[in-house]
Amino acid sequence: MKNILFLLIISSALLSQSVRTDHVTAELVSEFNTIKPGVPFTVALRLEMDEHWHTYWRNAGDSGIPTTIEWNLPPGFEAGNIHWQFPQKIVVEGLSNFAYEEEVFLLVNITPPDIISASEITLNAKADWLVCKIECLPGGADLSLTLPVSDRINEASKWFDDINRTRSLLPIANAPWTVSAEVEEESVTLFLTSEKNEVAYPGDITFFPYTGGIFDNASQQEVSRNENTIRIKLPLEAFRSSEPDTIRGILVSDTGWRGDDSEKAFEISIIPGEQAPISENQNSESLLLILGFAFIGGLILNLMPCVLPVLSLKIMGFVEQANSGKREIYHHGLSFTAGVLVSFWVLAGVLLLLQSGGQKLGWGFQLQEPIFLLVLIILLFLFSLNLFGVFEIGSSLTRLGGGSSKSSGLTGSFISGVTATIVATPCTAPFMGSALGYTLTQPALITMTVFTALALGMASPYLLLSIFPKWLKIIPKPGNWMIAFKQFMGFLLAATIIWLLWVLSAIKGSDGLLLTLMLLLFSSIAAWIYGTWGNISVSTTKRRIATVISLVILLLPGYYLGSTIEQIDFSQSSTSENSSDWENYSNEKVQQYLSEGIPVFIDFTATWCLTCQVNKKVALHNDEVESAFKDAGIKTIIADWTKRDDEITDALASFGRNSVPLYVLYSGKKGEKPVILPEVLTPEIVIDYINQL
Amino acid sequence: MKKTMLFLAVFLLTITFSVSGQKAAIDKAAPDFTLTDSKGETHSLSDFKGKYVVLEWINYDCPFVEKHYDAGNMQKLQETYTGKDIVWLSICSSVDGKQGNFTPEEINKRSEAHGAKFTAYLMDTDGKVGKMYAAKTTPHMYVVNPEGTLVYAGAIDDKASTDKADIKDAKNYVAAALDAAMAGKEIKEKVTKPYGCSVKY
Repeated sequence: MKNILFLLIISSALLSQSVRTDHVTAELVSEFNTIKPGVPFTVALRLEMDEHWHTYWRNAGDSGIPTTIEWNLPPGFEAGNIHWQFPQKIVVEGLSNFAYEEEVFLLVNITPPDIISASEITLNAKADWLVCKIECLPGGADLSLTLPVSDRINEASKWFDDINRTRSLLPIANAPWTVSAEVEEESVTLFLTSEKNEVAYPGDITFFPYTGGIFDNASQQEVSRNENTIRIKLPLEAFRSSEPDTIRGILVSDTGWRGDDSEKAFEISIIPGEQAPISENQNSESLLLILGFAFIGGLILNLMPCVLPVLSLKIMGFVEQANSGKREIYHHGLSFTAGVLVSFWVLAGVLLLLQSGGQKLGWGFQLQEPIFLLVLIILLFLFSLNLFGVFEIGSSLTRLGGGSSKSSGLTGSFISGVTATIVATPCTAPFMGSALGYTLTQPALITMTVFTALALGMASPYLLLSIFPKWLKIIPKPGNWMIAFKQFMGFLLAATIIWLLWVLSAIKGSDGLLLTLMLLLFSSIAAWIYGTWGNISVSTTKRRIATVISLVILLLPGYYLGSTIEQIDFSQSSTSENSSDWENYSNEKVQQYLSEGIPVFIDFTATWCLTCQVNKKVALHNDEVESAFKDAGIKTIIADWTKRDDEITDALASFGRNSVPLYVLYSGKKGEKPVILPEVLTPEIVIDYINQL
Repeated sequence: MKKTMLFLAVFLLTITFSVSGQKAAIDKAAPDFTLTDSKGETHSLSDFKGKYVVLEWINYDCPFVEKHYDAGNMQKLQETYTGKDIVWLSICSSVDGKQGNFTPEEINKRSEAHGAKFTAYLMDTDGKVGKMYAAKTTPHMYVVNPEGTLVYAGAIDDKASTDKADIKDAKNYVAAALDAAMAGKEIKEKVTKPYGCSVKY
């Protein structure tokens, strides 16, 4: 009976009102029949056009304007940007449009809050479009979609297949092709190199730019092929509003980019170079160079302020092992290296996977997740308590005493490798920015190779030490001094925790900070109980009870407080503390200033990026520098990437980067390329750049 | 005598061809053209040397043109700048049988109803002048300076929409270009991406 009632509710509530306007029928449709709290789902604006009428893509082409959706959602619901399936090119009398005929689904991801008290939810949206055949009519509709809320597994709606098919028409970010570009007087040539030496299969290719007014849309795009390269010559617009500094858009193949019947649209974002197209040889050469940079970058990572304290764990390990056997030290070195390697691979793999799933993420993305931060803070806190001697894990007591335990020691080395990597990611060291950015445009295999070099670079000092343990001879014999040393390292770790707490407070506010500190209190009680009654000097039964109690004290509040912190909706911008001279980033604003010829400086930053914070304090928010900015009439803009932000991720990508810090200075003069400043700044460097304008 | 006539004819033809084959480009001499207006008079661009000339591609049935005429925005611009001794030529390149291609009577009726203040409404019924200037949309705006150089090409303003409410917050590129040029300053945006309906070639 209950089920039937439920079905009735679904069938009555699911109806969305389709709106018929001149030449267009519009409606909102969902992939699911219900909304499950906390589970994102896709809603589409479905437009059905009369025969021969069309509505427009994100870049309409020579005329027309793109369809827009303005959402009005219940509190806690969030809508993403439109995901546009690739358009068709419609040419009429020498003018060209990028548009959709017949039927189109414009996809938008909706994220509902974790808790919904209402039994049904209505999503409202105002859609506006221009529909044209040869003549044009502006159109629009107020649309709504009501769906019941349910905790059950989402059930596919009748639109599920259509929405899924549309997903396969969205551009993919990675394909087994290397793309480069060269700018000539009146054209741009794209060079596509197949990694499989296979140039036949993409069939006919068309480029659709994201920005209008640069390329001559109506002229023929000449495509030629030789052994392993496809050239596409794109004529430039005679009257162009800007030069092709960055080429962003999609390449559409009529067969697919990964073989027959694979994805047909491939998203590219490249900064044209003057150099000749990358041939096989040059490619491997520049790859070698990049690998070298990545290795050195990894090495330098060890000295970055965010990694140093964590490495204290590792240094501790070496001190402890200094007097063990040669073989054992070697094994520890290998475990640590493995820990670093595996975690770099996992991070890079997850990043690639999420990116190919259409998520806009960059390096350091894990610190944009509050739950991840929380777990990391607690873990490091427990580590530091361990160093202070509040509790010992397993047989580490005996290890300190001079003996050694193989298995737990090796796991420890592995874990310290993992921790070091996770904390290291946000500290994009110099050299690493370009190496990481390079991977953006590369296929997965090369990306993984670059990350491997990075990992090896970071682990190399320890690996070398463990291969040549003689170098460790200078370390004195173990004794009481080691306990003091260990405790000192605990303070360094505490410093890292302060930094992470600050990052968390930037994402979740002072409430989140308070709850986290409470959680740390519980963690310390748990550690204390375990340390006092759970060590090996106590009887087995007592020890077991103490272990269970301390786990309960750690995990229960951890679960409740953790989920409460997760739900805190802290939307206040973390940049509000900045002085009024610094404006918050928006692409529109930057373009506005540039179109007025005003020079612009952009600081791409994040709270969790220590390099960024040091630069900010030392070189940017410095009176001398700020007055130099003012005197030169430069607008200073801050792009804060602490939380996920698709617009900023896109902007970083347009400079070939996927990490912060990045400092960009636009002269404001037409056609002049922006200057990218070094990742490590001093006031003198910044002022030098300002004077060069 | 006959020979001289033949020579002259060939000479003139050559000039005509070389002119009509020209393409407009920014900061270059604006190619000359001759068209008939809705009142039956002919005008050449070269007639107006020594004055600023605004070229406005027009199609009264296009919603983007309607936006600016229904709101009185285009007329206000025309009035302001023709008042400053600027020549304003509205050009319709809708070819025969396409939207926006009207009889002269219909044009004059509509222009009067709108209270249009242009110098002349020129009929480019074969689309030649439109293609010479690579006019893509209605409206698509151009500014020629007194030396005959093309100094602006692009949109009327920076709010690509059909919504009249957008006009008051929009930055008008044509006004900005004319004001800057007449004050002897550099025009900041010489080329912008035009928006509107396609020109009905």
